[in-house]
Amino acid sequence: MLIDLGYRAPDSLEEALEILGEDSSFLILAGGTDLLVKYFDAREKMGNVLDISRLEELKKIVIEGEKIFLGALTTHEEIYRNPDLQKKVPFLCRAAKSVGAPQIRNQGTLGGNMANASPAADLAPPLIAVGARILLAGPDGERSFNLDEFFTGPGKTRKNPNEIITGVEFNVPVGDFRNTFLKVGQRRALAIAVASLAIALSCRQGKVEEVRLSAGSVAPIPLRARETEKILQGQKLDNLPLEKAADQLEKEASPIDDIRGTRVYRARVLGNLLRKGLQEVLSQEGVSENG
Amino acid sequence: MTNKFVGKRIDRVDARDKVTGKALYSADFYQEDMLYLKVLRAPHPHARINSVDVTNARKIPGVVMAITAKDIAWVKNFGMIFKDQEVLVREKTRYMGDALAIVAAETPAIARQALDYIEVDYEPLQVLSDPLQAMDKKAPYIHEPREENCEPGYNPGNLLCSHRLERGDVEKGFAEADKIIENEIRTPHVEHVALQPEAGVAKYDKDTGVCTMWVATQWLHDIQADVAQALNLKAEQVQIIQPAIGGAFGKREDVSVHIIIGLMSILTGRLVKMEMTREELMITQNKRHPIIFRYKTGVKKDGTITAWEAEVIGDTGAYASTGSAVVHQALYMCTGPYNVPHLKGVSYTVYTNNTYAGAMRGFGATQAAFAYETQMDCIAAELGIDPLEFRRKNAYELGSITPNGQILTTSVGIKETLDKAAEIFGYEPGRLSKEVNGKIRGVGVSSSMFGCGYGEGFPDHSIVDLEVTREGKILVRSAAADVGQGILTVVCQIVAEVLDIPMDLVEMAPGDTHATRNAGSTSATRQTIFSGNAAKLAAEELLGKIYHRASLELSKHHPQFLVRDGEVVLQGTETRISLAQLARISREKGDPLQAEGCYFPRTDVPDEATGQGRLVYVAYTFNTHITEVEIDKYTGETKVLRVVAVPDVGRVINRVGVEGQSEGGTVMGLGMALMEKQVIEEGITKNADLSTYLIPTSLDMPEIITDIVESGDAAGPYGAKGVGEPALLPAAPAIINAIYNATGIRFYHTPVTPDEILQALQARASKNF
Repeated sequence: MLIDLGYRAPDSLEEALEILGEDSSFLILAGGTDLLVKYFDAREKMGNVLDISRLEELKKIVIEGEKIFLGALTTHEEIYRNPDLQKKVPFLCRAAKSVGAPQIRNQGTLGGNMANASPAADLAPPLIAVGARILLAGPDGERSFNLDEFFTGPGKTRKNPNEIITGVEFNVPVGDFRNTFLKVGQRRALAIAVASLAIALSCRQGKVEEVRLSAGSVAPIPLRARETEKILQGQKLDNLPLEKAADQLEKEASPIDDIRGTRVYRARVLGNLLRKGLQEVLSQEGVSENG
Repeated sequence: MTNKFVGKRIDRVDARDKVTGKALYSADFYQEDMLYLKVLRAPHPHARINSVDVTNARKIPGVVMAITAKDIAWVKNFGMIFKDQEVLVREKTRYMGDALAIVAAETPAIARQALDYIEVDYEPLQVLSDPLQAMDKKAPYIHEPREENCEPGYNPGNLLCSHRLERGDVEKGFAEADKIIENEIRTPHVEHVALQPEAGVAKYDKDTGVCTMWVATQWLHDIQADVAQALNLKAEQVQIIQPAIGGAFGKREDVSVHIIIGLMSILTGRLVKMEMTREELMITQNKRHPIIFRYKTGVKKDGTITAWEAEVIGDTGAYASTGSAVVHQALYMCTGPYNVPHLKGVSYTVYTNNTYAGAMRGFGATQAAFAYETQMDCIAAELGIDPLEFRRKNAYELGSITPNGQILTTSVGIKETLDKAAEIFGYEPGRLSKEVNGKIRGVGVSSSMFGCGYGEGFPDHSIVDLEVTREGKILVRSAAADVGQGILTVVCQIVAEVLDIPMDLVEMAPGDTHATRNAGSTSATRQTIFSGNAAKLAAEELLGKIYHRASLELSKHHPQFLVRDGEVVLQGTETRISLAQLARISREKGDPLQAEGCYFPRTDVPDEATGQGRLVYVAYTFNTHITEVEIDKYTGETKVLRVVAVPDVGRVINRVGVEGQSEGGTVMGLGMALMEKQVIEEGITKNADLSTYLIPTSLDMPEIITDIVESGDAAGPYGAKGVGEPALLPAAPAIINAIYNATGIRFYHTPVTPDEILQALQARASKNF
C-alpha cells in the first residue's frame, strides 16, 4: 500500500519543463513553507514532487532603471533586504518583512507566495498595486498575466499544472510615487493577515494622477479595489475624499468569517486601513520611507 | 550570617545541557528495532460505538499489532481523582480525543497510514458542548448517572460534583451595602502549549516483569500508580525514568502516552515509542477549564466590601481529570486577597463533550483572579475610587481571613506589593487615558493570591535523599520534576548553602521511580516549599553526620572545626579532611554519609458544608501587576507596553528564577488576555494547530520590570513561598483593566480581540455622535 513517491530536482528550467511536459501531476516545490506544512505527517498524500529550488535562473533580481524583474525563487528576506527595492518600492519590502518570521522569510519564495494563491498572500497587494505582471513558462512556451487577473479563487490561479512561475516584472512609476502597506494580524510576528492593504499613489501637481489599491484577506482573491480607486483618481491631495473612499472600500470587499477574524471586522478595519494609510502617504511628501 | 547561594542570581544547573542540545527529551530516544505507535481517535465527540474493525489494518505489511477495546478487556480505567477514562473506549466516545484503536508498526508512516484502514461503525448522539446545557436534568447522560453524588435538580450523569463556601451572613452583608454589583465573567478553553509534544518510550522485561518507560511527567510516583492499576501491575512493576521535560504548565500532570506505551510494550514484547502530533495533543490532552463566575458583591460608599456571593461553573469536558479540584479552587479563591466579612458560594464541575480540562498553571485560581480582579475594577469604577486605592483599602493584612476561614498569621505582603508596584510604575491615582498618535493608552491594576501546596488536608509531602559520594560530591536524589521552573537549581542551592560547598559539587540524580522517592507533583506552586524544605532538612542532617564523623576522626569538638568548600577544616590549623576521605572512612565503618529529609506538613480538610478550615494551605503568595497598554483606534489592536510585576515570595531562593517565572507568567497572561482560546464548537476543535491557536511571540513582549517583596517567615525554606503559578495570575486582568482605563469599555471575558475592541469603539463613537 505504500506508494513509491516520485521526487525530481532538476538543475535547469528546461529540464523542469520537460518533466512537467511528460507528467503534469508533479507538485511544484520551492521553499516548502506552505506545502511542507500542508503535508506535514502525510508525505504519502503529496504524490510526485518537482523540487525547483535548484533553478538558478529563477533566483535573479534584475533592476534596470525603473524596470524591475524578480525571479520566482526570490525569497521574502531577499526582497525585504534589497536596498534598491527599499528605495523604489518600500511597501513591497514592508510586506515581505511582515511575513512570518526570519526562518519563513528566508525559505519562502515570491513564486510560491503567488502559486499558493492565498487571499492573505502578503506580497500580492503591493505587487498588484504597482501593476506587476506575472510570468509563466510551460512546455508550450511563455505566457504572462496582469497579476490582478492571475488569481481566480482561494488556492486557484490561471497557471496550468504544467507551467512554472518564473517571476514578476513591473515598472516603478516615475515622479512623485507614494506607497504604503498596512497589515492587521493577530500578533506581531508569525501572523497571517486578517486584513491588509497596499496603496500606490502617483501624484502630480498636488493631485492624484494614478492610484492603485489592493487588499488582502478580504475577498476570495487578493482584491484590486477599482471602484475605490475611481473615487480617489484625480482628487486634490489636500482634500482627498477619505470617508467616501473608505466607505466604498468596505463595500468593495467581500470578506468571510474564519478562525482569524469576522467578516464585519475585516470590512470595518479595511476602511480604517485606508484612512490610516492615506494619511501616511500624504505625509510622505514624495520621499519614500522603508518599512 | 549572609547567604552564599540562597537569594542570589544563580545559573540554572540544567541550562548548559539544554542549550547545547545534550539534554535528552523522550522524543529523542531512538533504537533501530523499536515499534511506533499511533492511536485512532474518535470520529465523533459523542457516539455509540457499534464496532471497530482492525482486520484490514492488520494485513498491512509492517503493522505488527492493531488492537481495540475487545483485545484488552483486562485493562482498567484510569484517572487522577475519578477512574472515569478508558484506555480504549468500549461502548461510546465522549470527546474527540477518545482512543478507539492502537496500531504498532515498524515505521511511524506505516502506523499512521494503517489508521486509515480501520473501520468504525457508530451512531452519533447529542453533543453537549455547553456546561449550562449539560447540567440540565433533561440533557442526555455523558457518564453513568450517580444519583447519590448529585445535587437535586441537576443532571446526575453530567454533574461531577459541587462544593460550597460559607462564612458570616451574606444577607446581612448585602443589607449593610450602599451598592450591590453583579457581573458574570467567563474564561475559555486554553491550551498550555508546552514546547515538547507528548512522547514516550517503553520496554517490558518478561524476566523481571518490570515495564520501564522514559516519559515526562510532573509526578513520577502518581503516574506510576495510575499506570500500574490500569495495567494490573504492582507499582514496582512500573518504572518511570524522567527524561528532560520540554515544559508542562500542568499538562503533564495527566496521563498521556504512559498507559498506551506500557500496554503495547507488554503486548508486543518490543521497545515501543509513541509521539503525539501537536494537533493530536491539543484535541486529546487536558485544557484549562472554561469557568463561568457569577458574582454579587456588596460595598459601602467608602469602599468597604460587606458581602460577596459567588456561583462558579466549570466545564471539565469529557473526563474529570483534576477538574473537581480545579473548579473548587476557583471557588475557594473567589474573592482574591481582599477582606470580605460575609461570604457565600457554590461551585459545579460539569461533564461535557468538549476536550477534557485539568491542571493548568493556576489550577482554577487563574480564572478566579481574572474574575475577582474584573469585579474589583468594576466596583472601583462604580464608586469612583481609584482602582489601586480600592484594592489597597480592602487588601489582606496579618489577621485577615481567607475565603476558607484561614486566619493569616504570617507572610502577608500584598499591601507592600501594591505600594512597590505603584512606586516603580510611577502610578498616578485617578489617571485618565491619553491619546498619542492615534493610539489610546491606559493603565490597569491587578493583584492576586494563591494558596501554595495541595492543601485541604490532601497528603502532600516530599522526600530528598543525600549522599556524599566517593569523589566527595553531594548526590541529591529527588523525584521532583524540573519542568523548566528551576527546582533542581533551588535544591542544589539549598544543599550547597547548608553544607557551605560550591554548587558544582552538588549533583542531581535523574528522577526515577526506582531510585528516587516521592516528591509529589511539580504543581500547586509547591516544589520550592516542599522539596526545598526536604532538601534543607536532609542537608542539615547530613551536616550533622559529617560533624559527627569528623569529631570522631579529629577527636575534636564541633566548634573547633567547620565544613567549607568540600573539606572539614580544623580552625586555626592546617588540618583538613576532604569530604571524599570522610565519606570513605564512614563507608568503611558501615555508617555511610547519607541523610534524608522529609517535609510533610499538616493541612485541614475544609468543612464540606462551608469550606471552612483552620489551616487550609501552608502559605499564600501574593502578586501585583500594573500594566500599560496602547490601543490602535484604527484596528482595535492592543499592544502591551509595560508591565511592573511585584510578587511577594516570602524569601527569594534564586533571584533570576523568580524573575524568569514572573516574565514567563506575564507573557502567558498576555496570551490569555489577547489571543488564546481553543475554539471548540459542538465538541470539535477549530484551531488545533499553532497557526490558528496563537500565543505571543518575542515581538509581542512588553517591557517587564519585576521587583520582589520579601515578606519572609513563610513555610518554605528560609521563609520562602512559591511563585510559579502566582506569577501568571494578575497578568491577564491587569491588561483587560488597562483596556478599560484606555477606552472606558469593560470586557467580562478573555481573550479580548481587536474585532471586539474596534466594534465597541465604533459603537460608542456613533452613540456619542
